Amino acid sequence: MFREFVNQLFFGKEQNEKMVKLRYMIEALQYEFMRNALAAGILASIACGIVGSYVVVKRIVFISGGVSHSAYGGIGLGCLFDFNPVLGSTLFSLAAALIIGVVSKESSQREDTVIGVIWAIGMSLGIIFISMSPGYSANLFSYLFGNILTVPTSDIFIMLVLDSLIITVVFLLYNHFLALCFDEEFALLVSYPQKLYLLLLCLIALTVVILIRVVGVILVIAMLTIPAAIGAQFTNNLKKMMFISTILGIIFTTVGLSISYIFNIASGATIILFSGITYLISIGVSFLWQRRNFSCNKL
Amino acid sequence: MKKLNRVNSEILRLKNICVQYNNATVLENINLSVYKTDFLGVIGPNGGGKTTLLKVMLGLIRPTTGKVEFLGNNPDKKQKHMGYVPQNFYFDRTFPISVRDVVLMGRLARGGLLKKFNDNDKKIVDNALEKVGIYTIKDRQIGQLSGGQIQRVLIARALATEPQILFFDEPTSNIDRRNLKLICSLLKIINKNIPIVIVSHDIEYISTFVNKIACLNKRLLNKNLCGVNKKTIEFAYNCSVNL
Repeated sequence: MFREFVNQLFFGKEQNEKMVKLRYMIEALQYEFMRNALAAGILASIACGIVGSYVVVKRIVFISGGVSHSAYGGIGLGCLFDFNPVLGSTLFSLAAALIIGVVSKESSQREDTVIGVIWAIGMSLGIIFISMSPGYSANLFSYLFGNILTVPTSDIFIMLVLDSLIITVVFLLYNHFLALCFDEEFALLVSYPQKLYLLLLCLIALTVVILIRVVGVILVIAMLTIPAAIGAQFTNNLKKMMFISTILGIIFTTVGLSISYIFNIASGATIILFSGITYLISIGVSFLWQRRNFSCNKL
Repeated sequence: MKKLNRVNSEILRLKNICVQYNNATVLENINLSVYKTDFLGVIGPNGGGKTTLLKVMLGLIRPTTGKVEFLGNNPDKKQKHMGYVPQNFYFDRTFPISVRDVVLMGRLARGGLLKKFNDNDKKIVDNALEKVGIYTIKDRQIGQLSGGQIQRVLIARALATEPQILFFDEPTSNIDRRNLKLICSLLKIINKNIPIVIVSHDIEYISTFVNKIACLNKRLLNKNLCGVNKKTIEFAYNCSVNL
């Protein structure tokens, strides 16, 4: 049955149709929405390559989840008062990052509990704001699951600004961020790790804002972690890891976008599914690789 | 007399230090000075406040009352002139970082928040790696090292800060005797230039390397930090010991 499917896909009657669609795809680049989609994918990949690497090595995936989901509150606020939801999500995710960072470090509360609470509050606020806003907003679905094809040019500029901000901060503070992620106690001797940690959480918040447009609130953590997790398998250097995961992110968004365009399926989910499958394959490959090396050593 | 003073000048002074955690007294009225040639061993039973004392000296814990003076200053500011080798170094073994990059972190103590590493930093780091004998494995990922090697990486990192004093917390806890001996002889060489404060509950071993001992059990039991004295140690532990 599978073979039949593949045959149909690539060699069968439908071949011509698919080729035509691929040509459509290339022709589609003439359109602004398609160019914007590609640009959004690349800009998002840069942010998630850099910040996602920190998220993975510092093991703060759950915090990133809390920050991204609470951004939904900002989106709801934007819909209610009719301003750009990107602005609302920026405010909410920054606030969530700071609250999680300060409360979990300064008070005796358990960190994961705080994250869970902020996560849920943000989501609930979003749902309440949206139910209060007049009419039905079809757009909201695209904020939950992302729709890279509807990114307006104004949002591309916002993403560009946020990207430059992230790159500048990481370029300037790279060494201190590395020390913070690797050994917080040592960081305490040479810098101000609490403040740096809050700054790192804010960078995560900004990355979340960029990514929401591409993959949506719910899938942001996947985009933050998958490229970095694959990158981590190929290098022992954080800078290289950032570079590899940026490249991987660009591949994932571009290929995912093309697949979703050709088959007319949801773009955010396609991008994540494609990256997720690649991740699983990369785990399998590195597992086999290690086993091979191990048996070679034994011989 | 004046010359002697200059050679063996006071580096660190603790004045009437008290530390309380949630009303439980951990340290009580500690007065202590560390001089330039000192190799000071701080010993005492578990829960005697050894690590707390070390962190007070480092400025990581603010004492409830009392004052710490480091080279005449208050170490409340960032301790850029103190090297510290922690006790239990928990880290992510999969962290993508090489041995050399861990030691380079020590250079962050010299320079501001925007610090970028230059050739001089790299030279100092390579020297430190050479000194502790792990230059050959400098490009390995940190997770591939043994406990003894990691201890050396941490010493190299502390040396890379070009410290005026070196703190060492429980070197006996993670490594075997052979490695400990190597590390202690390494510390003796380092001690020619800077004072070392070493915290341990393993008195029998530590006493063969240090030249001063402070017995700590909430209070400092020997006020003038004499050499090794069986009586004070027995008093500190409340049982007999073999030295």
